[in-house]
Amino acid sequence: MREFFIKREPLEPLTQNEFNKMKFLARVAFIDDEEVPHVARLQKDGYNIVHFPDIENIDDFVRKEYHVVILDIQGIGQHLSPNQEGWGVLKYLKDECPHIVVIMFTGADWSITEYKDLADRADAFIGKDLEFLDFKSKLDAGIRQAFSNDYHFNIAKSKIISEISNTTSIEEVKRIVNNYGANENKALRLIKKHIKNPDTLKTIGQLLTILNGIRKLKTGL
Amino acid sequence: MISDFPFAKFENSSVEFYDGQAVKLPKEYRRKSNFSLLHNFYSNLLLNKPVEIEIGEDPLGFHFFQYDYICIIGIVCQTQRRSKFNSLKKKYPLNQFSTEFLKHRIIEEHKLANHKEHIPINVVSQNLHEIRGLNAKVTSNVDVLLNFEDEATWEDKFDSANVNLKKIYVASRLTKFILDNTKFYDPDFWDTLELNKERFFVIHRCVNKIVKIYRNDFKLEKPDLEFTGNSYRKLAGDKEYFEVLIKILVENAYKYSPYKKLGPKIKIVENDKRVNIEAHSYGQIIPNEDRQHIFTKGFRSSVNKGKAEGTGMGLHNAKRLVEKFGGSIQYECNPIKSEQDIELGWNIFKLEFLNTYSPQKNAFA
Repeated sequence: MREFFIKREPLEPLTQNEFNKMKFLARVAFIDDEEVPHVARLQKDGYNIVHFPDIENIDDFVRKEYHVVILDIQGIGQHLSPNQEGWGVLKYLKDECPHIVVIMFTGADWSITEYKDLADRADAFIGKDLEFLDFKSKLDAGIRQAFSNDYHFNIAKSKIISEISNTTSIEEVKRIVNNYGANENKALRLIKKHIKNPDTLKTIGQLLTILNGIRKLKTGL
Repeated sequence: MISDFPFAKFENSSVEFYDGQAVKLPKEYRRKSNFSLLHNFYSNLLLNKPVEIEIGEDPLGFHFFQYDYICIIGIVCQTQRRSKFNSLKKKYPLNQFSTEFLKHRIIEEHKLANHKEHIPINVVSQNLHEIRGLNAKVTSNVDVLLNFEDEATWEDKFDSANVNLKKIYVASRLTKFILDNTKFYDPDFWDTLELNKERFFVIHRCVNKIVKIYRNDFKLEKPDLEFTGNSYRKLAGDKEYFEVLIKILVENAYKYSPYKKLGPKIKIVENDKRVNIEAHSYGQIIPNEDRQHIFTKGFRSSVNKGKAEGTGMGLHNAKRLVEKFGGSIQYECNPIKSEQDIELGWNIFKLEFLNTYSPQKNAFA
Protein backbone atom coordinates (compact mmCIF):
# COMPACT_ATOMS: atom_id res chain seq x y z
CA MET A 1 0.00 0.00 0.00
CA ARG A 2 1.28 3.42 -0.79
CA GLU A 3 2.32 5.54 2.21
CA PHE A 4 0.10 8.30 0.84
CA PHE A 5 -3.00 6.38 1.96
CA ILE A 6 -1.70 5.40 5.38
CA LYS A 7 -3.05 7.37 8.29
CA ARG A 8 -0.35 9.45 9.97
CA GLU A 9 0.31 8.86 13.67
CA PRO A 10 2.93 11.50 14.42
CA LEU A 11 5.16 11.90 17.45
CA GLU A 12 4.54 15.52 18.38
CA PRO A 13 7.19 17.47 20.26
CA LEU A 14 6.16 18.76 23.69
CA THR A 15 4.63 22.17 24.06
CA GLN A 16 5.83 24.41 26.90
CA ASN A 17 2.67 23.69 28.90
CA GLU A 18 3.06 19.95 28.43
CA PHE A 19 6.68 20.19 29.49
CA ASN A 20 5.83 22.17 32.62
CA LYS A 21 3.63 19.26 33.71
CA MET A 22 5.76 16.44 32.38
CA LYS A 23 8.99 17.54 33.98
CA PHE A 24 7.66 16.24 37.30
CA LEU A 25 7.22 12.80 35.75
CA ALA A 26 10.84 12.53 34.65
CA ARG A 27 12.81 10.03 36.72
CA VAL A 28 15.94 11.79 37.90
CA ALA A 29 18.81 10.15 39.82
CA PHE A 30 21.22 12.35 41.73
CA ILE A 31 24.49 10.65 42.68
CA ASP A 32 26.65 12.43 45.23
CA ASP A 33 28.28 11.22 48.41
CA GLU A 34 27.55 14.53 50.12
CA GLU A 35 24.40 16.23 51.26
CA VAL A 36 23.02 18.71 48.70
CA PRO A 37 20.08 20.80 49.96
CA HIS A 38 18.93 21.51 46.38
CA VAL A 39 17.67 17.92 46.11
CA ALA A 40 15.25 18.17 49.03
CA ARG A 41 14.01 21.46 47.61
CA LEU A 42 13.41 19.88 44.19
CA GLN A 43 11.53 17.00 45.81
CA LYS A 44 9.40 19.52 47.68
CA ASP A 45 8.69 21.29 44.38
CA GLY A 46 7.40 18.01 42.95
CA TYR A 47 10.38 16.67 40.99
CA ASN A 48 10.77 12.91 40.91
CA ILE A 49 14.42 13.00 41.99
CA VAL A 50 16.18 10.39 44.12
CA HIS A 51 19.50 10.99 45.88
CA PHE A 52 21.99 8.10 46.06
CA PRO A 53 25.38 8.42 47.80
CA ASP A 54 26.86 6.04 45.20
CA ILE A 55 25.80 3.39 42.69
CA GLU A 56 26.08 0.04 44.44
CA ASN A 57 25.06 -2.09 41.47
CA ILE A 58 25.16 -0.49 38.05
CA ASP A 59 22.93 -3.14 36.43
CA ASP A 60 20.18 -2.58 39.01
CA PHE A 61 20.61 1.12 38.52
CA VAL A 62 20.28 0.91 34.72
CA ARG A 63 17.15 -1.26 35.01
CA LYS A 64 15.37 1.61 36.80
CA GLU A 65 15.44 3.53 33.49
CA TYR A 66 16.16 7.03 34.74
CA HIS A 67 15.60 9.79 32.22
CA VAL A 68 18.28 12.03 33.70
CA VAL A 69 21.27 11.18 35.88
CA ILE A 70 23.20 13.89 37.69
CA LEU A 71 26.65 12.61 38.61
CA ASP A 72 29.17 13.94 41.06
CA ILE A 73 32.77 13.13 40.13
CA GLN A 74 34.82 12.64 43.26
CA GLY A 75 33.88 9.96 45.76
CA ILE A 76 31.42 8.08 43.57
CA GLY A 77 31.71 5.08 41.26
CA GLN A 78 33.79 3.26 43.87
CA HIS A 79 32.33 -0.11 42.86
CA LEU A 80 32.47 0.43 39.11
CA SER A 81 35.54 2.52 38.50
CA PRO A 82 37.60 3.42 41.59
CA ASN A 83 40.23 5.24 39.53
CA GLN A 84 38.01 7.31 37.27
CA GLU A 85 35.21 7.71 39.81
CA GLY A 86 32.28 9.68 38.29
CA TRP A 87 33.95 9.77 34.88
CA GLY A 88 33.97 5.96 34.87
CA VAL A 89 30.23 5.90 35.59
CA LEU A 90 29.65 8.43 32.78
CA LYS A 91 31.59 6.21 30.38
CA TYR A 92 29.60 3.13 31.37
CA LEU A 93 26.25 4.89 31.03
CA LYS A 94 27.08 6.44 27.66
CA ASP A 95 28.43 3.12 26.33
CA GLU A 96 25.57 0.98 27.61
CA CYS A 97 22.54 3.31 27.72
CA PRO A 98 23.34 6.36 25.56
CA HIS A 99 19.73 7.60 25.72
CA ILE A 100 20.06 8.54 29.40
CA VAL A 101 20.83 12.25 29.75
CA VAL A 102 23.89 12.51 31.98
CA ILE A 103 24.74 15.79 33.68
CA MET A 104 28.04 16.09 35.53
CA PHE A 105 27.83 17.86 38.87
CA THR A 106 31.24 19.39 39.26
CA GLY A 107 33.14 22.01 41.14
CA ALA A 108 36.47 21.57 39.44
CA ASP A 109 37.16 22.62 35.90
CA TRP A 110 40.64 21.15 36.00
CA SER A 111 39.16 17.68 36.39
CA ILE A 112 37.22 18.34 33.18
CA THR A 113 40.46 19.22 31.42
CA GLU A 114 42.06 16.02 32.66
CA TYR A 115 39.18 13.90 31.37
CA LYS A 116 38.34 16.04 28.35
CA ASP A 117 37.43 13.13 26.04
CA LEU A 118 35.03 11.69 28.59
CA ALA A 119 33.69 15.13 29.48
CA ASP A 120 32.66 15.61 25.83
CA ARG A 121 30.29 12.66 26.21
CA ALA A 122 28.38 14.31 29.06
CA ASP A 123 25.18 16.12 28.06
CA ALA A 124 25.75 19.08 30.38
CA PHE A 125 27.56 20.31 33.46
CA ILE A 126 26.14 21.82 36.60
CA GLY A 127 28.53 23.77 38.81
CA LYS A 128 28.32 22.78 42.44
CA ASP A 129 28.04 26.38 43.52
CA LEU A 130 25.07 27.25 41.31
CA GLU A 131 22.11 28.81 43.05
CA PHE A 132 18.98 26.75 43.37
CA LEU A 133 17.10 28.54 40.58
CA ASP A 134 20.00 28.13 38.16
CA PHE A 135 20.42 24.52 39.21
CA LYS A 136 16.72 23.94 38.56
CA SER A 137 16.93 25.66 35.19
CA LYS A 138 19.81 23.39 34.13
CA LEU A 139 17.97 20.33 35.35
CA ASP A 140 14.91 21.42 33.36
CA ALA A 141 17.10 21.73 30.27
CA GLY A 142 18.33 18.16 30.89
CA ILE A 143 14.76 16.89 31.26
CA ARG A 144 13.82 18.71 28.04
CA GLN A 145 16.59 16.80 26.28
CA ALA A 146 15.40 13.53 27.78
CA PHE A 147 11.89 14.23 26.43
CA SER A 148 13.07 15.53 23.07
CA ASN A 149 12.43 13.32 20.03
CA ASP A 150 15.34 14.95 18.20
CA TYR A 151 17.77 14.19 21.04
CA HIS A 152 16.98 10.48 20.92
CA PHE A 153 16.87 10.39 17.12
CA ASN A 154 20.35 11.94 16.94
CA ILE A 155 21.74 9.31 19.32
CA ALA A 156 20.23 6.53 17.22
CA LYS A 157 21.35 8.30 14.04
CA SER A 158 25.02 8.13 15.02
CA LYS A 159 24.63 4.36 15.43
CA ILE A 160 22.60 3.96 12.22
CA ILE A 161 25.17 5.90 10.21
CA SER A 162 27.83 3.40 11.21
CA GLU A 163 25.62 0.59 9.87
CA ILE A 164 24.37 2.09 6.61
CA SER A 165 25.99 4.53 4.23
CA ASN A 166 22.90 5.89 2.49
CA THR A 167 22.15 9.30 4.06
CA THR A 168 18.87 9.57 2.14
CA SER A 169 17.65 6.56 4.07
CA ILE A 170 18.37 8.32 7.36
CA GLU A 171 16.30 11.33 6.35
CA GLU A 172 13.58 8.97 5.25
CA VAL A 173 13.75 7.14 8.60
CA LYS A 174 13.42 10.44 10.43
CA ARG A 175 10.41 11.43 8.37
CA ILE A 176 8.69 8.11 9.02
CA VAL A 177 9.54 8.20 12.75
CA ASN A 178 8.11 11.71 13.04
CA ASN A 179 4.97 10.99 11.00
CA TYR A 180 4.11 7.44 12.06
CA GLY A 181 6.22 6.83 15.20
CA ALA A 182 3.24 6.87 17.54
CA ASN A 183 2.41 3.42 16.12
CA GLU A 184 5.63 1.43 16.52
CA ASN A 185 4.61 -1.49 14.30
CA LYS A 186 3.35 0.68 11.49
CA ALA A 187 6.49 2.83 11.58
CA LEU A 188 8.77 -0.21 11.54
CA ARG A 189 6.84 -1.74 8.60
CA LEU A 190 7.36 1.44 6.59
CA ILE A 191 11.03 1.70 7.53
CA LYS A 192 11.63 -1.90 6.40
CA LYS A 193 10.86 -0.76 2.87
CA HIS A 194 14.01 1.38 2.99
CA ILE A 195 16.31 -0.50 5.36
CA LYS A 196 16.94 -4.23 5.47
CA ASN A 197 19.91 -4.41 7.88
CA PRO A 198 18.62 -6.23 11.01
CA ASP A 199 21.00 -4.38 13.39
CA THR A 200 19.79 -1.04 12.08
CA LEU A 201 16.18 -2.12 12.39
CA LYS A 202 16.86 -3.19 15.98
CA THR A 203 18.33 0.24 16.75
CA ILE A 204 15.30 1.94 15.20
CA GLY A 205 12.98 -0.36 17.13
CA GLN A 206 14.69 0.65 20.39
CA LEU A 207 14.38 4.30 19.42
CA LEU A 208 10.64 3.92 18.76
CA THR A 209 10.19 2.23 22.14
CA ILE A 210 11.90 5.13 23.91
CA LEU A 211 9.90 7.76 22.01
CA ASN A 212 6.66 5.98 22.73
CA GLY A 213 7.58 5.73 26.39
CA ILE A 214 7.73 9.55 26.42
CA ARG A 215 4.48 9.78 24.46
CA LYS A 216 2.72 7.49 26.94
CA LEU A 217 3.91 9.67 29.83
CA LYS A 218 2.40 12.63 28.01
CA THR A 219 -0.93 10.94 27.32
CA GLY A 220 -1.10 9.95 30.99
CA LEU A 221 -1.09 13.58 32.10
CA MET B 1 63.49 20.14 51.11
CA ILE B 2 63.30 19.30 47.41
CA SER B 3 65.88 20.60 44.93
CA ASP B 4 66.77 19.93 41.33
CA PHE B 5 70.43 19.78 42.40
CA PRO B 6 72.26 17.67 45.01
CA PHE B 7 72.38 19.44 48.35
CA ALA B 8 73.76 19.26 51.90
CA LYS B 9 71.60 19.73 54.96
CA PHE B 10 71.83 19.46 58.73
CA GLU B 11 69.62 16.60 59.81
CA ASN B 12 69.58 15.41 63.44
CA SER B 13 72.84 17.27 64.22
CA SER B 14 74.63 15.53 61.39
CA VAL B 15 75.33 16.61 57.82
CA GLU B 16 73.36 14.66 55.23
CA PHE B 17 73.84 14.69 51.45
CA TYR B 18 70.91 14.27 49.10
CA ASP B 19 70.32 13.65 45.40
CA GLY B 20 68.69 16.41 43.40
CA GLN B 21 65.55 15.66 41.39
CA ALA B 22 67.33 16.38 38.11
CA VAL B 23 71.01 15.99 39.04
CA LYS B 24 72.40 13.14 41.10
CA LEU B 25 74.85 13.37 43.99
CA PRO B 26 78.38 12.26 42.95
CA LYS B 27 79.12 8.90 44.53
CA GLU B 28 82.22 10.27 46.32
CA TYR B 29 79.90 11.97 48.82
CA ARG B 30 78.64 8.57 49.98
CA ARG B 31 82.06 6.95 50.26
CA LYS B 32 82.79 6.05 53.92
CA SER B 33 86.43 7.10 53.64
CA ASN B 34 85.30 10.66 52.83
CA PHE B 35 82.79 10.87 55.67
CA SER B 36 84.78 12.70 58.36
CA LEU B 37 86.43 15.04 55.86
CA LEU B 38 83.11 16.08 54.37
CA HIS B 39 81.30 16.13 57.70
CA ASN B 40 83.86 18.54 59.22
CA PHE B 41 83.87 20.75 56.18
CA TYR B 42 80.11 21.03 55.72
CA SER B 43 79.34 21.21 59.48
CA ASN B 44 81.29 24.44 59.62
CA LEU B 45 79.95 25.69 56.33
CA LEU B 46 76.30 25.07 57.16
CA LEU B 47 76.59 27.06 60.37
CA ASN B 48 76.74 30.13 58.17
CA LYS B 49 73.58 31.24 56.46
CA PRO B 50 74.93 33.80 54.03
CA VAL B 51 72.59 36.53 52.80
CA GLU B 52 74.58 36.73 49.54
CA ILE B 53 75.35 33.71 47.38
CA GLU B 54 78.70 32.14 48.30
CA ILE B 55 80.54 29.85 45.92
CA GLY B 56 83.47 27.65 46.87
CA GLU B 57 85.25 24.36 46.34
CA ASP B 58 84.85 21.48 48.78
CA PRO B 59 87.51 18.89 49.76
CA LEU B 60 86.41 16.61 46.92
CA GLY B 61 87.04 19.35 44.36
CA PHE B 62 83.34 19.97 43.55
CA HIS B 63 81.82 23.41 43.75
CA PHE B 64 79.16 24.32 46.29
CA PHE B 65 76.69 27.22 46.09
CA GLN B 66 75.35 28.45 49.40
CA TYR B 67 72.53 30.93 49.98
CA ASP B 68 70.78 31.25 53.34
CA TYR B 69 70.15 27.66 54.47
CA ILE B 70 70.32 26.20 50.95
CA CYS B 71 73.63 24.57 50.00
CA ILE B 72 73.87 23.03 46.54
CA ILE B 73 76.82 20.64 46.20
CA GLY B 74 78.51 18.30 43.75
CA ILE B 75 78.68 20.90 40.98
CA VAL B 76 81.33 21.10 38.29
CA CYS B 77 82.05 24.69 37.19
CA GLN B 78 84.47 25.96 34.62
CA THR B 79 86.17 28.14 37.23
CA GLN B 80 87.86 25.03 38.67
CA ARG B 81 91.50 24.23 37.93
CA ARG B 82 91.68 23.00 34.38
CA SER B 83 93.00 19.49 35.24
CA LYS B 84 90.40 19.00 38.01
CA PHE B 85 87.65 20.46 35.83
CA ASN B 86 88.45 18.13 32.94
CA SER B 87 88.47 14.98 35.05
CA LEU B 88 85.23 15.84 36.93
CA LYS B 89 83.54 16.99 33.73
CA LYS B 90 84.39 13.71 32.11
CA LYS B 91 83.13 11.73 35.10
CA TYR B 92 80.04 13.85 35.85
CA PRO B 93 78.99 15.61 32.63
CA LEU B 94 75.45 16.14 33.95
CA ASN B 95 76.75 18.04 37.00
CA GLN B 96 78.36 20.73 34.92
CA PHE B 97 76.70 24.19 35.02
CA SER B 98 77.63 27.80 34.53
CA THR B 99 78.05 29.88 37.66
CA GLU B 100 75.47 32.45 36.52
CA PHE B 101 72.85 29.79 35.86
CA LEU B 102 73.26 28.26 39.31
CA LYS B 103 73.18 31.65 41.01
CA HIS B 104 69.82 32.27 39.39
CA ARG B 105 68.52 28.82 40.27
CA ILE B 106 69.51 28.91 43.92
CA ILE B 107 67.55 32.15 44.34
CA GLU B 108 64.53 30.58 42.63
CA GLU B 109 64.75 27.48 44.81
CA HIS B 110 65.00 29.69 47.88
CA LYS B 111 61.79 31.48 46.88
CA LEU B 112 60.13 28.17 46.17
CA ALA B 113 61.13 26.73 49.52
CA ASN B 114 59.77 29.82 51.25
CA HIS B 115 56.56 29.90 49.17
CA LYS B 116 57.40 33.49 48.38
CA GLU B 117 56.50 33.24 44.74
CA HIS B 118 55.53 29.69 44.06
CA ILE B 119 52.98 27.46 45.66
CA PRO B 120 52.68 24.06 44.02
CA ILE B 121 49.74 24.23 41.61
CA ASN B 122 48.25 20.96 42.84
CA VAL B 123 48.02 22.44 46.35
CA VAL B 124 46.28 25.53 44.97
CA SER B 125 43.94 23.44 42.80
CA GLN B 126 42.93 21.12 45.59
CA ASN B 127 42.34 23.98 48.01
CA LEU B 128 40.28 25.90 45.46
CA HIS B 129 38.27 22.79 44.78
CA GLU B 130 37.51 22.36 48.46
CA ILE B 131 36.64 26.03 48.92
CA ARG B 132 34.30 25.79 45.93
CA GLY B 133 32.65 22.73 47.45
CA LEU B 134 32.17 24.46 50.79
CA ASN B 135 30.93 27.62 49.12
CA ALA B 136 28.39 25.46 47.30
CA LYS B 137 27.12 24.29 50.68
CA VAL B 138 26.72 27.89 51.84
CA THR B 139 24.93 28.82 48.62
CA SER B 140 22.50 25.94 48.68
CA ASN B 141 21.67 26.31 52.37
CA VAL B 142 21.07 30.03 52.14
CA ASP B 143 18.88 29.38 49.08
CA VAL B 144 16.77 27.07 51.22
CA LEU B 145 16.37 29.83 53.81
CA LEU B 146 15.66 32.59 51.29
CA ASN B 147 13.21 30.23 49.59
CA PHE B 148 12.55 32.21 46.40
CA GLU B 149 10.29 30.32 44.03
CA ASP B 150 11.55 31.74 40.77
CA GLU B 151 13.67 34.52 39.34
CA ALA B 152 10.85 37.03 39.22
CA THR B 153 10.22 36.50 42.95
CA TRP B 154 13.94 36.80 43.61
CA GLU B 155 13.99 40.16 41.87
CA ASP B 156 10.94 41.45 43.75
CA LYS B 157 11.70 40.18 47.22
CA PHE B 158 15.47 40.13 47.60
CA ASP B 159 15.65 43.66 49.00
CA SER B 160 13.14 42.89 51.74
CA ALA B 161 14.76 39.57 52.73
CA ASN B 162 16.42 39.05 56.10
CA VAL B 163 19.56 41.22 56.27
CA ASN B 164 21.83 38.46 57.55
CA LEU B 165 20.65 35.99 54.94
CA LYS B 166 21.29 38.58 52.26
CA LYS B 167 24.83 39.08 53.60
CA ILE B 168 25.53 35.34 53.53
CA TYR B 169 24.09 35.14 50.01
CA VAL B 170 26.23 38.05 48.82
CA ALA B 171 29.40 36.64 50.43
CA SER B 172 28.89 33.28 48.77
CA ARG B 173 28.28 34.91 45.38
CA LEU B 174 31.37 37.10 45.67
CA THR B 175 33.39 34.03 46.65
CA LYS B 176 32.09 32.26 43.56
CA PHE B 177 33.17 35.16 41.35
CA ILE B 178 36.68 35.00 42.81
CA LEU B 179 36.87 31.26 42.23
CA ASP B 180 35.50 31.67 38.70
CA ASN B 181 38.31 34.09 37.94
CA THR B 182 40.84 31.27 37.99
CA LYS B 183 39.08 29.69 34.98
CA PHE B 184 40.13 32.55 32.74
CA TYR B 185 43.82 31.79 33.27
CA ASP B 186 43.49 28.35 31.71
CA PRO B 187 45.30 28.71 28.36
CA ASP B 188 42.58 26.68 26.59
CA PHE B 189 39.65 28.40 28.26
CA TRP B 190 38.62 30.80 25.49
CA ASP B 191 39.20 28.27 22.73
CA THR B 192 37.08 25.64 24.40
CA LEU B 193 34.31 27.80 25.89
CA GLU B 194 31.06 27.11 24.05
CA LEU B 195 27.92 28.74 25.32
CA ASN B 196 24.70 26.77 25.23
CA LYS B 197 22.65 28.90 22.84
CA GLU B 198 19.57 26.79 23.52
CA ARG B 199 19.30 28.39 26.92
CA PHE B 200 17.78 31.84 27.35
CA PHE B 201 17.82 34.27 30.22
CA VAL B 202 16.27 37.63 30.98
CA ILE B 203 18.85 40.41 30.59
CA HIS B 204 17.36 42.72 33.19
CA ARG B 205 17.29 40.06 35.89
CA CYS B 206 20.96 39.25 35.47
CA VAL B 207 22.00 42.89 35.62
CA ASN B 208 19.70 43.58 38.55
CA LYS B 209 21.08 40.62 40.43
CA ILE B 210 24.68 41.80 40.11
CA VAL B 211 23.64 45.35 41.04
CA LYS B 212 21.93 44.02 44.18
CA ILE B 213 24.97 41.93 45.10
CA TYR B 214 27.28 44.94 44.85
CA ARG B 215 24.85 47.25 46.62
CA ASN B 216 24.88 44.76 49.50
CA ASP B 217 28.59 43.99 49.62
CA PHE B 218 30.52 44.71 52.78
CA LYS B 219 32.17 48.00 51.86
CA LEU B 220 31.36 51.01 54.00
CA GLU B 221 31.26 54.61 52.83
CA LYS B 222 30.84 53.69 49.21
CA PRO B 223 29.00 55.79 46.66
CA ASP B 224 25.44 54.86 45.70
CA LEU B 225 25.04 52.76 42.59
CA GLU B 226 22.32 54.09 40.32
CA PHE B 227 20.49 51.54 38.16
CA THR B 228 18.06 52.76 35.50
CA GLY B 229 16.24 51.39 32.49
CA ASN B 230 15.07 47.89 31.88
CA SER B 231 14.79 45.23 29.28
CA TYR B 232 13.00 42.00 29.83
CA ARG B 233 14.24 40.76 26.48
CA LYS B 234 16.19 37.52 26.50
CA LEU B 235 19.64 36.55 25.38
CA ALA B 236 20.81 33.09 24.34
CA GLY B 237 23.67 31.48 26.27
CA ASP B 238 24.71 30.48 29.75
CA LYS B 239 23.44 32.94 32.32
CA GLU B 240 26.31 32.36 34.73
CA TYR B 241 28.85 33.68 32.19
CA PHE B 242 26.68 36.70 31.51
CA GLU B 243 26.65 37.38 35.24
CA VAL B 244 30.45 37.30 35.25
CA LEU B 245 30.47 39.80 32.38
CA ILE B 246 28.15 42.21 34.21
CA LYS B 247 30.06 41.67 37.44
CA ILE B 248 33.28 42.84 35.74
CA LEU B 249 31.60 46.06 34.59
CA VAL B 250 29.85 46.80 37.89
CA GLU B 251 32.96 46.03 39.92
CA ASN B 252 35.08 48.29 37.71
CA ALA B 253 32.49 51.06 37.85
CA TYR B 254 32.65 50.97 41.65
CA LYS B 255 36.41 50.64 41.76
CA TYR B 256 37.01 53.68 39.59
CA SER B 257 34.38 55.96 41.18
CA PRO B 258 36.46 57.93 43.68
CA TYR B 259 33.82 60.61 44.41
CA LYS B 260 31.16 59.57 46.89
CA LYS B 261 28.66 62.09 45.56
CA LEU B 262 29.06 60.97 41.97
CA GLY B 263 28.57 57.25 42.20
CA PRO B 264 28.60 54.70 39.39
CA LYS B 265 25.59 54.24 37.12
CA ILE B 266 24.32 51.19 35.33
CA LYS B 267 21.84 51.79 32.50
CA ILE B 268 19.88 49.45 30.31
CA VAL B 269 18.57 50.86 27.05
CA GLU B 270 16.27 48.80 24.82
CA ASN B 271 15.54 49.69 21.25
CA ASP B 272 13.58 47.06 19.36
CA LYS B 273 15.81 43.96 19.32
CA ARG B 274 18.89 45.93 20.34
CA VAL B 275 19.79 46.13 24.02
CA ASN B 276 22.60 48.27 25.43
CA ILE B 277 24.00 47.97 28.93
CA GLU B 278 26.16 50.87 30.06
CA ALA B 279 28.45 51.17 33.07
CA HIS B 280 29.37 54.77 33.93
CA SER B 281 31.99 55.87 36.44
CA TYR B 282 32.98 59.45 37.20
CA GLY B 283 36.70 60.05 37.55
CA GLN B 284 39.80 60.76 35.52
CA ILE B 285 39.11 60.21 31.84
CA ILE B 286 41.14 57.40 30.26
CA PRO B 287 43.74 59.18 28.08
CA ASN B 288 43.49 58.97 24.31
CA GLU B 289 46.71 57.01 23.95
CA ASP B 290 45.46 54.30 26.36
CA ARG B 291 42.05 53.81 24.80
CA GLN B 292 43.11 51.47 22.01
CA HIS B 293 44.76 49.16 24.56
CA ILE B 294 42.14 48.98 27.32
CA PHE B 295 40.84 45.58 26.21
CA THR B 296 44.33 44.15 25.80
CA LYS B 297 45.25 41.36 28.16
CA GLY B 298 47.13 42.69 31.17
CA PHE B 299 46.92 46.36 30.15
CA ARG B 300 46.10 48.92 32.85
CA SER B 301 45.50 52.55 32.03
CA SER B 302 48.01 55.02 33.48
CA VAL B 303 45.16 56.83 35.27
CA ASN B 304 44.12 53.70 37.17
CA LYS B 305 47.42 52.07 38.04
CA GLY B 306 48.00 54.01 41.21
CA LYS B 307 44.38 54.14 42.33
CA ALA B 308 43.27 50.57 42.75
CA GLU B 309 44.69 47.08 42.63
CA GLY B 310 44.08 45.20 39.43
CA THR B 311 45.44 42.62 37.01
CA GLY B 312 44.44 44.24 33.73
CA MET B 313 42.42 41.12 32.92
CA GLY B 314 38.89 42.34 33.68
CA LEU B 315 38.13 44.28 30.50
CA HIS B 316 39.98 41.75 28.37
CA ASN B 317 37.80 38.98 29.81
CA ALA B 318 34.70 41.17 29.40
CA LYS B 319 35.46 41.61 25.70
CA ARG B 320 35.99 37.89 25.19
CA LEU B 321 32.77 37.11 27.05
CA VAL B 322 30.62 39.68 25.27
CA GLU B 323 31.82 38.32 21.93
CA LYS B 324 30.77 34.82 22.99
CA PHE B 325 27.26 36.23 23.50
CA GLY B 326 27.36 37.77 20.02
CA GLY B 327 27.64 41.33 21.34
CA SER B 328 30.28 44.03 21.45
CA ILE B 329 31.85 46.35 24.01
CA GLN B 330 32.96 49.93 23.43
CA TYR B 331 34.53 52.65 25.48
CA GLU B 332 33.08 56.16 25.39
CA CYS B 333 33.74 59.16 27.57
CA ASN B 334 31.97 62.32 28.54
CA PRO B 335 34.53 64.89 29.76
CA ILE B 336 33.09 67.40 32.25
CA LYS B 337 35.97 69.54 33.48
CA SER B 338 39.75 69.89 33.78
CA GLU B 339 41.58 70.40 37.07
CA GLN B 340 45.35 71.00 37.02
CA ASP B 341 45.78 69.18 33.70
CA ILE B 342 43.59 66.31 34.89
CA GLU B 343 40.54 65.73 32.77
CA LEU B 344 37.52 64.59 34.77
CA GLY B 345 34.31 63.13 33.45
CA TRP B 346 32.34 59.95 32.87
CA ASN B 347 34.08 56.83 31.63
CA ILE B 348 31.45 54.70 29.94
CA PHE B 349 31.67 51.06 28.94
CA LYS B 350 28.83 50.14 26.64
CA LEU B 351 27.73 46.61 25.82
CA GLU B 352 25.59 46.16 22.74
CA PHE B 353 23.52 43.13 21.81
CA LEU B 354 21.76 43.33 18.46
CA ASN B 355 19.98 39.98 18.50
CA THR B 356 17.94 39.60 21.61
CA TYR B 357 14.75 37.60 21.94
CA SER B 358 11.26 38.46 23.09
CA PRO B 359 10.43 37.86 26.77
CA GLN B 360 8.27 34.90 25.71
CA LYS B 361 11.21 33.12 24.13
CA ASN B 362 12.03 29.76 25.65
CA ALA B 363 13.72 26.56 24.61
CA PHE B 364 10.65 25.48 22.64
CA ALA B 365 10.01 28.71 20.79
